[in-house]
This record gives sequence, C-alpha cells and structure tokens, in this order.
Amino acid sequence: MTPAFRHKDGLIAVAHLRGNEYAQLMSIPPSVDPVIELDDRGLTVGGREVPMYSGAMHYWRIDRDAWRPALVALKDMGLTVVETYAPWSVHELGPGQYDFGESDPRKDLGAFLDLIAEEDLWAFVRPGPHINAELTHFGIPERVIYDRRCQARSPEQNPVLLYFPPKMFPVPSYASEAYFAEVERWYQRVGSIVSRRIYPEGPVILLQVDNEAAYYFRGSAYDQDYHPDAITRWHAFVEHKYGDLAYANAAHAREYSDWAAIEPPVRFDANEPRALVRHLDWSRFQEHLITTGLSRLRDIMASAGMSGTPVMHNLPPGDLSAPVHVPDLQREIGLVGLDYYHRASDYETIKRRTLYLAGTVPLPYSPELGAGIPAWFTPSTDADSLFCAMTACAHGLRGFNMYMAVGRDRWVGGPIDARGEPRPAMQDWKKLLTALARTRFVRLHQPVQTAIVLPREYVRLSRATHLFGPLSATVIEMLTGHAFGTSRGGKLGFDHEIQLQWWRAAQQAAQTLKALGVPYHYIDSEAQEARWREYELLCCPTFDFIGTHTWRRLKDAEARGARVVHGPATPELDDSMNQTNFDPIGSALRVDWSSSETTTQALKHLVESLQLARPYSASPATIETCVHREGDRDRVLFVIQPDNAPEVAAEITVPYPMQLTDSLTREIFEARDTLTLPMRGRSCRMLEIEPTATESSQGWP
Amino acid sequence: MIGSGFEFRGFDAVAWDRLLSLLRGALHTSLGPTLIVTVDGQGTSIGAFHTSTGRVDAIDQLEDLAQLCEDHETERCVVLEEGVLTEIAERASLRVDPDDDYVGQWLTVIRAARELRGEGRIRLWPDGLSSWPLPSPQILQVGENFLLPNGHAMVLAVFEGPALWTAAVVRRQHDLIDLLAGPDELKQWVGPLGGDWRRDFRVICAAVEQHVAPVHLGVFTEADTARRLLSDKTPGRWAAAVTTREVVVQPVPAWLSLALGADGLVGMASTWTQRLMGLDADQARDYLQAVVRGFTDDQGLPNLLEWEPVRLIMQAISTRPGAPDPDPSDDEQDEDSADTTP
Repeated sequence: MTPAFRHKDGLIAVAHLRGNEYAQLMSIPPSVDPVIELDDRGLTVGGREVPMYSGAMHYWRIDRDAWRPALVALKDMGLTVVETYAPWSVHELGPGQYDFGESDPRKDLGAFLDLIAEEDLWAFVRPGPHINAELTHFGIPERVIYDRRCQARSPEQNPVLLYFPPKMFPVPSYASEAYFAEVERWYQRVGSIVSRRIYPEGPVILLQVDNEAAYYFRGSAYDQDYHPDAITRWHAFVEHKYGDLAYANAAHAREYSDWAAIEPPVRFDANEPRALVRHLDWSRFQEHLITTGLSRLRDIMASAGMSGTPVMHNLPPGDLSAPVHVPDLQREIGLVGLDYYHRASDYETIKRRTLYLAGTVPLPYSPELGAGIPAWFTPSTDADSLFCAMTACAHGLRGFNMYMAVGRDRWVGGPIDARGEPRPAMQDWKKLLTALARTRFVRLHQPVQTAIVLPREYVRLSRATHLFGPLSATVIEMLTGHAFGTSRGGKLGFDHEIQLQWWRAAQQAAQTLKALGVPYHYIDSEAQEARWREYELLCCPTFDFIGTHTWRRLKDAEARGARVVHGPATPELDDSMNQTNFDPIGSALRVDWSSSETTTQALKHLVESLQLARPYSASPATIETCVHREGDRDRVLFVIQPDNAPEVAAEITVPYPMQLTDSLTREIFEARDTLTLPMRGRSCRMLEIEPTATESSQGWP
Repeated sequence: MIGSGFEFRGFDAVAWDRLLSLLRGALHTSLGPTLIVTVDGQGTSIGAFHTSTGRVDAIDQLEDLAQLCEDHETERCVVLEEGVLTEIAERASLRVDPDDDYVGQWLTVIRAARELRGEGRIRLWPDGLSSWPLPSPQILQVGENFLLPNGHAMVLAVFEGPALWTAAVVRRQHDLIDLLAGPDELKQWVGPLGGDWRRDFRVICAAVEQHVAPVHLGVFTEADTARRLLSDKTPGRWAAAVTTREVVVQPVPAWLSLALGADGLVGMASTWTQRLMGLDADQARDYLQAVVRGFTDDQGLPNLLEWEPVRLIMQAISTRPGAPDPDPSDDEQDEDSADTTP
C-alpha cells in the first residue's frame, strides 16, 4: 500500500501503510488494520487508541544489558511509546561509513527497535538531522558543520556561531542544497533500518523531522540566513508575493532591475510605514524558509522510506518570538508541538505557551516535556518537572513525550536511571500517567469560549525591530520569560508604538479575562479557520495597520455570531502599508487596552451578556482552576497555586455536589457548594470528579 | 576546561541540586537582575530591558550608570550601541578556533567584546569587562594542572548518616576535564558501603582509582558539616574541621588540602559549574572572585592560613619551564594573567 495522508477538519493525518512481513515476523496478527490516524483527540493505531504519552530513551547512551530493564521500567511507569533520536554524528564514522552496532553494540538502532516491539511497546523515531540532545554540534557530523557550503551566513557572509557548550559551532543553513544532499545520504542510511520497522511491519508509529527549527536560537531578523541558496529562495518568495516587478518596486520603494536584484535588508532602517514593507517581507520570508526547509527534509525522509506514519515537529522554548509559522508548519508537516523546559517559577510562561497551542493547533502536544534538565541549563527539581507537566495539562496539553524518561550522559534527572532502575521520582510520574489514562484525558475538552488573537503581522514587526541582534528575542524569552520587550521604541510613522503596544494589549486582555474568571486561549491570526470557529468572543489588538487576512477572520467570526473586541485603533493600512478601506465590524467593541479599568468595564459587560462560562471560581485570587469535560460532564479539575507562598486553604465554588479525588495523593474531598482545599506554594492538584450519591441517583451522568 | 568528549553522568535532580546548593553556599553570591540599554549613534536610548521585569519605557539619564542601576534596582547595567552585538558576533565568527575548548572559545568572544568596549560602543557598570584580566588558555591550563594534574581525579563525597548525600568525581585528561560523574556512577563503582564514611572513603578512593583515574584529591564530609563550613564566617573553620576529622581530606597532605584542596576543589567545581551553566563574563568574574573571597569571608587566605598560598601558586607557575612571567608590570602579561588575588 502507498502511504497517504489526508487532511480534514479535526483529522490531522491518516497513514495507510505497507505489507505485513514484519508483522508476521513479530507475531503481530496479520489482520491488523494498517492505518494510523492522528486527529485532534489523539492517536489510533490499527483501530486501537494509543495515548500520546511517550518517554525518551537514547539507546546509544545506554549499555545494551540495560536496554530491556529500562524499557520494562518505562512500561511499568505507564508509557506505551518509546521515543528516541537517531544521531547522525554518533552513527557516522566518516563519509559513507556508519556504525549501526557493527562495532559498538549500543549503536544498534535496529536491535533497539526490535526490542521495543518485543516488549509490546511502540516507537517514536526522530532521525534529525539536527537533534541537539546535548550532543557536540547538536548531533551533526563535524565535517558537515565545517563545510562552508552547508553553513548559514551572516549579513557579512560569515558563519553563524551557536554558543552552546561543550563547543561553539557554525550552524547549518535551512536553504543549503549541499546540506540537503548530505542529509539525504544520512536519511538513506538510517531509513534502511527504520523503514523496515514502520507499523504494521514494526513498532514505529511516529516520526519527527529535524528538531527545534528556529535557526538554532540565532533567529533575529538580521542575524541569518544570507546563504546564497537562501537568497535565491528570497527572490522567489518576493516574486511569488508580488508577481509583477513593478509592484515589488513600489512596495519596497526600490528600483530593482529584475527579481535577482532584490536585496534582503541587513539591518533595520525604516522610519516610516512604507519603508517597513521590505522588513516585514524579510521577517515573513524567515518563517517561510523554515517551513519550506522542513518540508523539504520531510520529503527526503519519505523518499528514504521513512513515511507512513504521522510526522511532527517540535519548537523550542521562546517560540512566541521565534521566526517560525506554527499554523503553516501544522499544515505542511502534520503535527507541531512545543518543548517545555520550565521550573515552577516559570508558571506564567507554561500557561501562556499552552494556551497558544490550545488555541492554534488541533492537538496541543509537547514532543519534549522536561523530566529532568540538560546539564547546562538552570537546574530544576523533580517537583519542577512534575509541576510543569501538570500545569501544562491543566491548561490544555493533551499529550507529551517525557524527555528524558531514562537518564543519560549530559542530563540531570529522569525517572529511570541509565541502568534501567527506577528513581524515586518515578512514582509520581506513574501516578500522573495512570490518572491521565484513567480519565482518558486526551479525549477530554475544556469549556473555553474566548480567544485573544495574536496578529502575526505584529509579531513580525516586533521581530524586525528587535535591538539585541544575535541575542535573539527567542533567547531573551527563554531566559527571562518576557516576550516582545526588546524592540526599539518610536512610532515609525504610526500613531502608536505598535511593535511594543500590541503585546501589552494582548496581555491586558489576558489579565482582565483572568480577573473575570473567564478561561481563554491565544489564537495565531493565521491559524486554520476551524480553530477560529471555536470561540464566541475574540479579543484582538488592532493598530494603524493590519493584515487583510486578520481583518477578514474577525469579520467572518462576527458574521457567524461571535463578538469581537478590538482596538485601540481601527486600521487604515494593510500590511503592505497600502491605504485600505476596512469594512467595519458591525457589532465590534473598540477598546484601547490601556488600563485594566477600561478593559474590565468593556469585557465584563460582554462576558455577562454572552453568558460565558466562568467555572470553578476560586479564592484567594492567586488560585487558578481549569476544568476538563467528557461530553457535558465535568471530569477533571486542576487547582493551581502558582505563587511561592505558604499553604493556603483555597475556596472553590463547585456547580453541584461532588466528590473529588486527588490523582496523586488519592485524598478524597467532598464538596456541596464549596470545595476547601489545602494548597501549598507552587503546587498543582489534579482532581478527578465524581458525583455524590445523591447527585448520581438524580441521573447525573 | 571541557572539550567535545566531555561526559556528565550519574546525577539525579536531587543529587545535582544538593551539590549546587553547597556551591551556592560557598560562593555567597546571587545573580541579580541586569538592565540592558540600547542607544543610537548619538547615545540616545532607543530601548531598555530589565532582565527581571521586562521592558523599561523611560531612561532618564545615561551618564551615571551606578545611579541608573539604583533607580532600576539592578545589580549591573550594560549600555550597548545599536548593532554592537552583531559586530561582536561577526568578529567572533571569524576568530573562534574550532580546536579551542569551550572556555578558550568564550575568551575569544569576550576579547571581541572588550575591543568594542575600548571603542566606546559598550559601557558597563560595574565595569568588569575592562578590570577583569583575561587569562590565556595556556595560563588557565597551568592553574588547572596545579590543582588537578592530567590523568588524575578529584572526589567530593558528602554523606548524611551512612548514606551518600551527594558526590562529584572529576577527571582531567589531555588538558581537558573529560568527566564529571555523580552519585549514581559512584555507587556503581563502589558497591555497598560499610556505613561509616570515615572508613568508607578509602573504598571510594580505591574504586575511583580503579574505574576513573588515580585520585589527586578527595574531600569527604557530612552534609551538615559541609553546610556549616560553607556558611560559617569563622576563620580557620576548615582547619579545625580537618583536625577533628569532621572533614577527611585524602590523599593530599593536609597543608595542601587546606590551601588548594578543599578550597580548590570547590573553586574548581564552581568554575566548571558556571561554565556549564553558561554564565556571562561578569558573572564568571564574580564567581571567580567569590571562590577566593567566599571561603575566607573577606579575611583572605593569608589571614586564614597565616601564610600566602597565592604566592606559592604563582611561584610554582613561574618556575615551570616555558611558563609566562607572572610580573604584573607588563601590560600584555597583566592582560593574560589569572587574577588569583583575593
């Protein structure tokens, strides 16, 4: 059978797979349904639900005699899927020479995948080329890294260094044809091992292309990529956008003689709207280059036989400021997730990132959720890792890959050590995973009717005006938790400092909704239309200019009955800075977002008139709740105390009498009108809801 | 100094946190917020960022950076001319040697930054970039050779009752630190312990020697003792603890373990830790100074020991064939010398 994917609402990917020779070999029943489905509620393999919870184990870093104990422990913890990278630089001995176990038995990827199948587990394989994994040169062979043809370029055509330990190195280009050719040779070799083990012939049910493709944390607008192959792509991009050179000249305020003469900006030099256009185009091109680069790698991977499963990609912390287009990647690759490496003190960041995923993609998923931490990151504890996992689930994460489930070199922690023996932290993870399975958490949903729109054109403007050059906004966001605070000041010919104010407006909306007890998501303005249909109230910062696409989405939402709140300005320019007569959004409310008073006044009235759900209000004000439903029935309640404060007695209003069981401690709480709950500082409780006997007898579901 | 093949293994989150908590206690240092201001070619602020609170809208003045720090409650501030970080990156990309180790590579980047500071395009308060001497990789190697010779290991084992509370084993080979191993690894090498750490230390040293390298220095103590010694302000506390066998230093002679062993181990470990954690130059400078200052609580090693260990180190360095002259009167040499004075 030929692998095939189809896309429709709610369905991310369907893969029809090949014959079943391996299935026979591995005693998998030949009648097995050779289809893997990935939809917005999780993964189905051959008709069986496979929970989207997996654990990372790096076979090449683990002694062979520890492989089986580690897999058994991983299974005992409640995981059914094992994730592993396949590291190019570890397997390659020289050009065209590889060791897949012939010399070092730990490098026998085939044997590892076979053992996974033997243990009745599934496999999720990530063959790079970039994998990081705390490997020197991020897992790319040194000969490739130092091949100038493969290197990304600075505006001055210099290599672009990544400063990560244990060695700085020049990063590869996502446009370099020479690099793609090298990757193709690697994919062909690793594909010869993986392809024979893809379901139903083997245990591989998920593949990932590359890793954290955000220009290796050097993604500032004018930091890279000026590689000649990237410039060729830039010319094609501009030609595709404008079609006619005259339009391009008008938009860029230049006199290009032909498409190949269109130079990319190398520094920010705009001081009026028209001069911004080429910068916004360049910023958009950087997103496009990542999307097309990954798409190319995905195609090469498929041509090497690594196909027939859903494919995903992961983005690093700091994603909000990164030059990546999540909705486009989602459309192009299949599933896009975010990596989480956060301490409990990063709660607001965990929340913000998860709410963005929940609003923007069909299946909020984390391909790397830190269980432990890289040796050179700010240290975190087991409690931090668990808090991060639980609060991300609370805000809507529906699946994750525990990274690392099995400890290894250059890593601190992990619930299973490198000899396959459980560590004390494993017990809490086991309880959490058991609870997620017991509640079929991936199938639950949240009653969220409100979204804050993040206009991508404003994200691009903030990126273009970033002031710290190679110290990218992504890195600043990772290190400090603050997004979009590093842009230059000044109005650039507008009435507002849009590059700074748009994010403040979005944050003001978020704070107001939180204070009103209204759950919300963030939605990327270029998210698929199906995502927009989920919401009854949309809050959108709008300034002097806006993309016609964003305005149309708001208009469409209003047309189908949603209410729109926007402001402070009604735009008059599109994102090519052309005067545009934007149709007014009839029932829209205009808010200037400048103060909590005015914003609260505006939103409170709307929330009440729309009768938006405000479930499980809590006091004191620092306590947050998130409810998850199965159909119309409340099934799981998360209660979060983000503050590092002494224990408090949280008071939570419940909609009907209920019994709640803490998933980890198994404490049982009864609540008639109010649930009183002791909450320690920086803690999260997952509570499973059951109706009381009285309520059950009255036909409660 | 770490290299491509650096191995870090055997730490769970608890053991790593414990080890770092000891080092933090030893260093008496905190990493407070930084204010970063970008200015245009005329020196006018066009954007400012506070690493704790985010965007800063108004910068009143840029003449008195100490006052600016005070106004914004930051420990330090950096004023950057627009584009200067790009310039550092461009210069560094041409100069960073792939064959240098990680610390050597960072020194190259810092040198590029210092050039731009010299051109007046970077201002700092406190001005660590100009006052902090940049040692050459060779000088760093000499210092590290003295503390941990090639082909040898250091061991720190801290106990709580009979159980190992945290531990670190460090090995140096080919002028590079190539291994930092934690308690999980150590337990595997050692096997079951007898329950009395004052006896068990010998077994530990033997196991490390068998599995890693000959032990150049071992420090063994209890968690409470370690915490107390690292926070106690009383001079001579380490000497007393060694005398009463609250701390066992083995196999190094007692005078060396005091001067360069116990202090040196933690100092070295903290240096590696900050390298691992990727601290910036100012932080690294603070840490290095704190290593010396923290252990002596500003009394200085001479007051603590009643002799001058730094002089001894410098003499040892200067007597090595080919080692640079430590005479600080030479400008270039001053630039490249390790500043080990408290």
